[in-house]
Amino acid sequence: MSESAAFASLIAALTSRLFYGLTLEAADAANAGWLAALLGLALSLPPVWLICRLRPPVRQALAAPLLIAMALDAACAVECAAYSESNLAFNHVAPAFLMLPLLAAILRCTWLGGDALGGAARIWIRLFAALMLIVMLYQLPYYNPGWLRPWLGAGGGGILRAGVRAAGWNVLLAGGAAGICKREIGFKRLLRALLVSTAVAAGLVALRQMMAPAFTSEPVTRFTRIDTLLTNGRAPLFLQLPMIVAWFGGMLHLMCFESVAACALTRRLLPKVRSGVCVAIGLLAVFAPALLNVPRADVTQRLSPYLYHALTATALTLWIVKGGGAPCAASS
Amino acid sequence: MRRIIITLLLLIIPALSGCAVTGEVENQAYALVMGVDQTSAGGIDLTIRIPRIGHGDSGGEGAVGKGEPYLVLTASGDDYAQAMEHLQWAAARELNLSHLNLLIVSESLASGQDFPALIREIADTRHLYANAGFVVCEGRAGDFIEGQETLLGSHLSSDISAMFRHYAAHGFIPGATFADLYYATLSCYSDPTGIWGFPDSGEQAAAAIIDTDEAALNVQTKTASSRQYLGTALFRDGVCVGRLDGAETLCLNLLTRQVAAFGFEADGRAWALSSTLPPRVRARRDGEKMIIDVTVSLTGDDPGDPTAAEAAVERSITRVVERCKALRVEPFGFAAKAAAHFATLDDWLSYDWRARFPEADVRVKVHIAAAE
Repeated sequence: MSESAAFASLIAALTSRLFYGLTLEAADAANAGWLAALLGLALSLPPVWLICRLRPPVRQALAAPLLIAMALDAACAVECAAYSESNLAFNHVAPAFLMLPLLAAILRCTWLGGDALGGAARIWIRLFAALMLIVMLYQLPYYNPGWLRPWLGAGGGGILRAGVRAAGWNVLLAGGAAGICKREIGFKRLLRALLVSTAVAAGLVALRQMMAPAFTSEPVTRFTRIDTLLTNGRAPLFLQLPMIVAWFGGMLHLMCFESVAACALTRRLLPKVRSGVCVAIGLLAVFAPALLNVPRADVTQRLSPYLYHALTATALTLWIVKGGGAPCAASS
Repeated sequence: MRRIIITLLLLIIPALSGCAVTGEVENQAYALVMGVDQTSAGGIDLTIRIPRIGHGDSGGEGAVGKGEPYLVLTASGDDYAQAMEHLQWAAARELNLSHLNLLIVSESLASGQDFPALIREIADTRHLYANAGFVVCEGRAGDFIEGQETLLGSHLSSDISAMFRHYAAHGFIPGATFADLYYATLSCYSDPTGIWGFPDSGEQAAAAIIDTDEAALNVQTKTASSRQYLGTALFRDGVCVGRLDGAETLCLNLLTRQVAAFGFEADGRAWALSSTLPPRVRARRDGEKMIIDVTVSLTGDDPGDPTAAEAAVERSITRVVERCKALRVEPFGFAAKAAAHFATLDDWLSYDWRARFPEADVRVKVHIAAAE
């Protein structure tokens, strides 16, 4: 995958990951989710910089933890997309059957290769902007900025918990982008992608919080969260179409990016194995947990706070033990 | 070979996603209006109106000829879930609530202590369109729905939307939807409202409108529909605790949003007023007490001195605020402004806005500018 294709794909995928994560998985920050996205950016910069500064042979050691996390996260995205399909229209269809078209799309995307994904991401970013513009313009009278108050939402602890999760997704996807590229991808480029994705995701999270207030009188179920997100109770019915297109388009990019990254990381991990076999292993790593229902919502919610700590600790350990210091290609 | 595989994959996708005969329009029972009542045994009655497929002028396949364009179905159960199950059976097709226009609840049910739990159950109904208008009606919701007619042969869904848009623009009803009720019940901001509906009994509409001395809306009406919507049902903690009449609803609407046009009588003169801007609301904290400054800017058609009219509108609005304070209900949207003075949701919840609102100092200022 070329550097520019990885850059576009990373923006499309990371924006979706942060939005879906902060609204559905890590709602700890309540109505301050947008602050958690900004905190996530700040927390993720040191480990991403560290990963970029690792010498390529040393960085190879990061491929295994990145592959495991990437495959599981892709499976999570597949499960979430299938759950949203079920919620919207196909509640009478078994989840595995809802996953099959998504997995077919991933298969097709991997077949076409990373550059095709990057090209699609460039088109998607423009289309997504147009869709969101339509949605925002029509929803303008319905936004209630008062629901962003009190500004710190669930408080420092909640923002920190959600921020750490966001930082974990940032490090994972940025690390995946670094692993996907044929050439070295520079820290500055990754930083730009992180900044753009975080800004867009924080804005979307804030807009979503202006459409539905934080629920305080009882614990909110996943069904309620996804229901209020996708049907967006206070918006006109016709806006559901652009919103659902934006949601599934974003999720599809996330799934495809993470699956392609999983294949690329497998290849890095097993350089002597034929590329076709590596792709098969990478896809199996995504498909198997998805179809076996490993990434259940409760499991991922428990594990996702540790993603940031695990990846940062690994990068730091490699830096200390094996040494870094090689400047990134683009940043030098 | 590659093209064949791709084509096969694309062809398989629709089949895998579960698109089947059950998704066809003919197999759906689209409920446009749903009513919820409590039975005498404590159970739930659900009543829906669904359009009859094939009714009308085409006369094609599936047409059922002339007659009532809508079916009214009712089902009962020990609770909401069971009543919904029975309704699924009664509908004889896949009951689809994604195009719901109106959710009507009887006053007795909305005033019960179990209503908040029912709100959650209704909200959790699969594919329910939560932006449907929310009405609290006098008497049974089922009877209310059965008596609802459409005007000039228009569709029920567009008829309801047009009517509510018109009423809301003129301040006769609050812009209440079920989503607003649900969100406000579960969150920590202002209290929700419902649209007050009642069967037309000739005098009641006028009586509701001219409840206050200042109101100049004392029109005697004869309407085409036997179902009327005028006024506001007030909720506290998800339970209906009172209602505002037409004139009071107008004041409520002046504090919450723009009102396109309304008449007002002050000092023997009739004013045609409109609000060109949303009201400006500022909240200040003075120790434990909250001070709310509200400025309502209106435009009037009379170039004369507006002082008397301004004072009259201010008095009317203040009276409605006091009435709501007495009921310990805050439907004005002040909470979102007051919450800015707290750092976190926990701090805000500890302050307990709903309990403290009656002590808040609400200062209303009305400006009337002459139209250009």
